[in-house]
Amino acid sequence: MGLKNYIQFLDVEKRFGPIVANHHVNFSVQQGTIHAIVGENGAGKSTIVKILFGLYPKDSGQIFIQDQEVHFTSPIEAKSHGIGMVHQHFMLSEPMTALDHFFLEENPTSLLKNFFPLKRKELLEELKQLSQKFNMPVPWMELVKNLPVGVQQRIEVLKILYKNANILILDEPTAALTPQEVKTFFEQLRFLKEKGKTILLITHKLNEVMSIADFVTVMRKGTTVSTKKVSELSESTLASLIVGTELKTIEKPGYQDLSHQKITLSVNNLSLTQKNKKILNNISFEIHAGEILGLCGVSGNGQSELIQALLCPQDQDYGGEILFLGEKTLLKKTKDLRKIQVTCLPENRLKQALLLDQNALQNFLMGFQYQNNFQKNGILNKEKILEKTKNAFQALDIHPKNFDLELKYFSGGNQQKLVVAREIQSQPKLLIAAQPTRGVDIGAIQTIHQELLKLKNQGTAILLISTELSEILSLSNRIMVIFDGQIKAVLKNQNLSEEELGRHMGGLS
Amino acid sequence: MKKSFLGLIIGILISALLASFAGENPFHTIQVLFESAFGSSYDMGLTLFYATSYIFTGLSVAIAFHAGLFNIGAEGQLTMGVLAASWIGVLLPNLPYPLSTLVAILAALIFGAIWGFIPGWLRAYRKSHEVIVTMMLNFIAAGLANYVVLNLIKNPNTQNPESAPVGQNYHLLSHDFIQNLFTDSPANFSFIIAILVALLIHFVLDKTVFGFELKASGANEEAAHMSGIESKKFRMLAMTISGMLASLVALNEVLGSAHRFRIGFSVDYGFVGIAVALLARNNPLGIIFSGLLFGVLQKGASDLDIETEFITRDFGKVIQAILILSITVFYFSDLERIKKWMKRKS
Repeated sequence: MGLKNYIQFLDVEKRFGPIVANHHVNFSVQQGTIHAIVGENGAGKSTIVKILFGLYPKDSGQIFIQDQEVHFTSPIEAKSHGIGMVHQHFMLSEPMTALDHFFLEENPTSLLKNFFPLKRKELLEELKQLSQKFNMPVPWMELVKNLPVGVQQRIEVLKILYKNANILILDEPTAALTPQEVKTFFEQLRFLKEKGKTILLITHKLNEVMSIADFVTVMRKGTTVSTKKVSELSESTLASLIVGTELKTIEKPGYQDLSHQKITLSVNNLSLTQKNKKILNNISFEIHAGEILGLCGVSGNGQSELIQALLCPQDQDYGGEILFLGEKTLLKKTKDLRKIQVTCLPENRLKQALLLDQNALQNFLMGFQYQNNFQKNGILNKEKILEKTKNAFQALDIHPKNFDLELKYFSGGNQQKLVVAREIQSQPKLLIAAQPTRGVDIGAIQTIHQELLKLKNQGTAILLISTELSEILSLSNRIMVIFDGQIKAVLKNQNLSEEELGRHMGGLS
Repeated sequence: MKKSFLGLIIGILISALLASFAGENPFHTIQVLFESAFGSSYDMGLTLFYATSYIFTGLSVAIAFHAGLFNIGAEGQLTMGVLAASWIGVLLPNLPYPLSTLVAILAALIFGAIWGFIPGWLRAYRKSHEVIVTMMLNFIAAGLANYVVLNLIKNPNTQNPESAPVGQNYHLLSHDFIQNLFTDSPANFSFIIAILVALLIHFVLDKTVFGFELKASGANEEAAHMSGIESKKFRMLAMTISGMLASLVALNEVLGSAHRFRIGFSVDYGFVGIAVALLARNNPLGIIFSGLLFGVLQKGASDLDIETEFITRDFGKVIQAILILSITVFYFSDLERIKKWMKRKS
């Protein structure tokens, strides 16, 4: 192992207007190690590495590399010091070949040089050697848009290595990769480590930290909490370090016979055909009051259309019927459905649930502008809205408690908590919870799960749609599997395994 | 507010600098601008007159913006409004006051509403882009107005391209105190109405469920839809209201001052309205001030032709552009950072 304090952060602070993104960031990275930085969404992980890479100027504090203080004002300076970064969203141009991207890395020494023909042959030779050296094969002449995400990732890493970087910053590198690709990618990272490279890995997946990192720095609310050797930690201690409190384990409700309860929602032979394709094929099920019915399936098998049918059915041609507390709702308007207390956590919160440019109050009002005494004769009661929003922020511990701040400045987890708080505010009779914890951190997942269970105990019927099998298994009473627009199985949540569900999800029975 | 004001000052300084590049004495140029806008009660009256129409069109553009639509058809909508008011006034000259005025206002509102409803409906239910449709409707409105004015209700006593005067009873107030204040100028009571309308729109957008739903449909159509807000309906309505607001220019033009349709009466009210709304960040109360500012510039620049040697009234347009840029830049800037930067430099 090399230098102990290869990279060192001392009291680094960064503000964006009124928001403190980083403060008192202190940690050091050892040379030739894989160093993970973990934390919840909005904990300041990305900001601190972007400062290191010269994308943001720091407000105060110091950064040392090999005991030399550095001030990077642009990524070009950082690159010349041997630092490279792979961003969460790849910075590749789709209609270009893999090879041509490497010309972008050249900084021509004179304007005239821009007009010289590109020396593709020479570069190709050089790159072939490089990719052989690091064991990263790439089809060089292929257009980027035709390459799988894993290979695109490889191109990004090679771009850094091509510039002889010794420090690699990887921001959520596995977010878009399939499990198989992750495996290969991690092998390559280990190989790079052996070659003496130092890797800073930002992630919020704890199992990845446990399997690949040597050291881990935990960040919380913009500051570093501690830096530990991974071999001395267990996954659960790491989790509680991240959240800041001991994680309570939620008790799984498991299966309970609820057939004596009244039926809140019953769907009979619901079908939908678009362009001669059966999107929904004779779907029938019912949910009892106080029941969580899990719906699992690979995305794109009709889940979105089912949500539409339940919440905004007016624009399409459906067959069959939907009965909500005995009342036919298939031709109703969303507005009227909401009045009879059907609410929804949409699949895609940014597109379907939030007004990113408006403040928390406006967002809390969405869909409830006629309810909860929020208005009288069409005039909004702002005090009431503020009061309810305040209570909701308190109850679900939503941060920051700034009601004038636009929603885009909230972290993903807090945005989702706001949506949850909003949709459960008047104890709905039916809640459609689609991907309720997609892309949110552990703390928020726990809060959201707790709220769902609380709601169920109060008698709400919940349709839980999720691609996370563990989530379905831990919350549902019964589980329904959808495949190709058809319900393949309805199972009691007793001694079910993920494998069994997986089989149904693949269309096998 | 402080930032916008700073931007205003800086913008004026830059404009002065440009004037000096053109060979003018910058102080003289600014002096001409100010004297022309505020020099006499007549000048001030004209300034207010322009500002009134700018406030109406600014509000029109702003409410469309709030619903996520870009209305560049205010020009056509106000043309239709003015046409309707003057047409009614010529056809029914003997209606008693105040019925006459009310009928004229109603006619203007209906014509404006139709001219806003068409692009609104096409956008909401037929997915035709409102920019294209409103632009085309501008031409149709201009053509229609020319035809009606020159062929059906032409003023027989003059060579000017204008309609016959409306009946005696078509005026806003029987004793218009603003007209008395700014003698001989076209300023009239509709300035007060413009301010009241701005306050009303502010109230609707900020305090009512209707305003909330309208803004929500503009901010995120799909999320609004999922929340039970019929965003298509709101877009259509917003465009219709937008047309009605633009058509209120008829108050200023027909009922308040000229009492007829003068072809070419609009000094780009509809298009400058876009700038007025942008400068005020679509805030109805801000539009009162930005409308006044553009009124000042419009009137102020009118004397540049005579009073200066090298620049013409078109320099007013240059100043408008510079002010929009500088006020926008300063609005979004971080004053603390600028102070720090200045300290470091000095």
